[in-house]
Amino acid sequence: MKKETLLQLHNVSVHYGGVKALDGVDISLDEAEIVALMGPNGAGKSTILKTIFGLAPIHSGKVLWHEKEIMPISYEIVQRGIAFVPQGRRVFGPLTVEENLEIGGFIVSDKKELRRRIAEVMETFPILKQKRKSKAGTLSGGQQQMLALARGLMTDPKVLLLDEPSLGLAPKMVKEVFAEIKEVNEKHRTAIMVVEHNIKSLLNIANRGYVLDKGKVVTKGGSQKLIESRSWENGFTVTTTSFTH
Amino acid sequence: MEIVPQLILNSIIAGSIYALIALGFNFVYGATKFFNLAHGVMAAIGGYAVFYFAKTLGLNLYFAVILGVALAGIVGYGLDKFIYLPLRKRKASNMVLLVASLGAMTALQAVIAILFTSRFKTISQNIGTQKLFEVLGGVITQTQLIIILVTALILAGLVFLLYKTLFGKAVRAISDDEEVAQIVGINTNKIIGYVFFIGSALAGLAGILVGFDTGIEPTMGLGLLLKGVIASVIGGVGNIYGGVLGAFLLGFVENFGIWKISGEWKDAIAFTLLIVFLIFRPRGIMNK
Amino acid sequence: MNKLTKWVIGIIVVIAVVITGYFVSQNSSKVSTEQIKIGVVAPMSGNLAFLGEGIRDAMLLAQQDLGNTQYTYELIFEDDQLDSKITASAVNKLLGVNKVDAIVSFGSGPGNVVAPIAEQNNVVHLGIASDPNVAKGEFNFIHWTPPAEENKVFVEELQRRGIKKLGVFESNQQGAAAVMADLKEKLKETDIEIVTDQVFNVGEKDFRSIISKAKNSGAEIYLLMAFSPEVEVLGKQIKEAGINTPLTSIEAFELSEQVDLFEGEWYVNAASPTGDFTTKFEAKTNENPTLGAANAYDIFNLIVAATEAFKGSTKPTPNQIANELTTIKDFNGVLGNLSVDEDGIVISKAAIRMIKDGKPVDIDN
Repeated sequence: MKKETLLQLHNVSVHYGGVKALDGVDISLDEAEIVALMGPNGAGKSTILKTIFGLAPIHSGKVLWHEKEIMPISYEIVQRGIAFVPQGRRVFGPLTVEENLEIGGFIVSDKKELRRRIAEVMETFPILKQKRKSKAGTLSGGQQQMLALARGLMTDPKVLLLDEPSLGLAPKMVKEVFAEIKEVNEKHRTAIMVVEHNIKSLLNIANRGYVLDKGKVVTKGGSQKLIESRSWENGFTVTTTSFTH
Repeated sequence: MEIVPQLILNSIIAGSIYALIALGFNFVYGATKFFNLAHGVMAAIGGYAVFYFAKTLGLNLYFAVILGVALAGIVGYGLDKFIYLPLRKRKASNMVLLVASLGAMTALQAVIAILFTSRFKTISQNIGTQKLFEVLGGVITQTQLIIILVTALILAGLVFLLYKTLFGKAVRAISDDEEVAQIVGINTNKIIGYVFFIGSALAGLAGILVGFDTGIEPTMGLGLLLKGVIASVIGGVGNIYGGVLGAFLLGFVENFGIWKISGEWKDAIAFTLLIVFLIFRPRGIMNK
Repeated sequence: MNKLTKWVIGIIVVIAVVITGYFVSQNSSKVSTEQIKIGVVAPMSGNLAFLGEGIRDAMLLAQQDLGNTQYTYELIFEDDQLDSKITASAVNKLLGVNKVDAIVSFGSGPGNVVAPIAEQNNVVHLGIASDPNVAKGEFNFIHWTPPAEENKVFVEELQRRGIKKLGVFESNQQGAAAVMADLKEKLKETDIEIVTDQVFNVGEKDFRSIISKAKNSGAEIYLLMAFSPEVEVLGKQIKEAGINTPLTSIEAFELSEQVDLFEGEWYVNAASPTGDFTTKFEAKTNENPTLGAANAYDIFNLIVAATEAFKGSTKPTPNQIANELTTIKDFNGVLGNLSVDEDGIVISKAAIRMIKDGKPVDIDN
């Protein structure tokens, strides 16, 4: 059965002043799939996610949702069923874990449903249940990443955009995070687009991937093909040298 | 020593007035991170609105107060919608926003002076003949008692709003990271607009109460704002509790400071306290 | 040239001569068509704009009431918001751009700014100010019931009422300070003691603590040396502190919008302007004359009187006008019989008044 294409970037260019952050990029995300975005620093990977979310200035091209062009405005994109977990965790430090989750479900009008989702997410991430009354700023890096991911799930999104979810995490935590990503995809059929430097872990769970360099897509294909071609090795190295747990 | 109870009461009265201004100021600063200098003129708008509705039009005083508070809120909301928001959308720096707020303050003050003249006015119905209460060896008027009670209620109300309602949590989220607040689906510009409405309404209420206690003049907001800002810096800018703590500390230091020296030193004492905190504890008492 | 043309030219010449001769004869009584420019620096905006407007209206009224004069008199108004910093630039504009012959200022602070500038630029300056320092120098004068005159009347009244202990609340504003300095000197010659002396800044609205300090001083009467809005707020807060001791002031009470606060209290004021002036001022402005308005009216006429004393083909120099001013005695002003003393002070009388039924009334002492 052909999967429905949920999200597309069609020939999108993003300029920051004189700098072309994205140059005629074509990306798509189908329902229930995991797509990897890879490339060296400054390739434009995070910019793609920001563009979808209206956080980067589109110079030309279109963003399509269910094949219809949309003008990305952050808080409206959420209404459409797209959630974004930005780079660096960026939980609301002064708010408690529970309050972070409540805010994650800001657009959920049924408060009973919101409470149900909070309970569900706390089952998925037991550490969050333990720390529900703690201020998010007091959590460890790994716990904050869990919280950021959980917060992203509060709207029960059709599409989840993740920007470097393993950044700064210990290897054990990285494994856990990717396992959670996989579980979310399988359990909820959430389509996920992931930007990562941790290629090995990512390609193990992704269906397809794009390799970017200098704002352009240089390679794309199924993850098996990408693993075999190792094309993501050309021109950049991928390590995580610092981690938290 | 029999002067001490009265000095304590005077300090509490002054602290309450400063706290009312600081509460609204910090509420707005917390969400927007800029010093809204026009906050002071909202106090004048509230006071003059009550003057117009109650004294000129003869409306019921309580109704006039509600209208005054609402009008101050509306003007504050309008300033955000038509001046600050367009500037924020253009990624203007906080310095630009501060200058814009200074311009707004000056313009609004001038409008008030044109409409009502610059003369000092009262909105109190019973000048000099208010009911007096003896409290712990000191004397306090009915209006001053109301100011203290209202300050306590507003503080409780704001704390409830910020910590127990989704709107308040959204405000705190915006205060922490506006971009991520947008990412999770909060229309931050809409919420900030409401913040301006509430903060400005609080300033309007402060102006009304000060108007009942002393009187109103177009430039009354600037002096009040200065004290509110000093209180906020002492207590911790953007911190609701901090502003209140700073306000009462300022009130006590000012009133006890002039116990044995001339009253002319009051402003100098206030600004010395500000400088001391700016040098030794710029984040204020409550901010970590 | 034919005969007809010669006749026509001849008639035109005759007519021209007649017309010229007519205008020359008309203007022979006007030795000069020169204009005397009077620059006026007063608050036209800010809290005290109503005072500046009163001064402006009074001077325009005086200009309007002026009959035939040798010279024409132009008034140029500049706003200084009663702020000495702005006064300086306003005066420099009047001198540099408008090239005024005389300057009128309002307030002791601004007056003290104008005085040295006037002296340096040889321009006559008349200040509506109580501080005698404003009148220092050859070109400077003040028209205000001098502190010495007001204090004399005040001390006499205190003694008449048997008051021995005086409490003072004084603003640190220049005019108030000048009055208090003179009063304290005069009181030294009496058995009246100042039992409490509380000083506060202009703009202060919270007097509660200094009132607490003064409360148990044993004062039999409190002197409020302040102006609006401080005097109203002070009066209100004194009552709210439960103090029923009588209050008095020098000049401030009847300027207040809340005269009811001072119902039944006596005070010292400059003598009232004539009824005629008050009527004309009210007809022009729909308001009572404000503080300094009558002085401004008189100042205009004093300048005119000093200038008109000179008959010449050109207008008198400022030096000449200044010298002429110092000789003025028994001038019939709206503030009564005016004489200029050797210190450049235009002397007018003070009176004791009381607020009765919300209105100031003269009382005989």
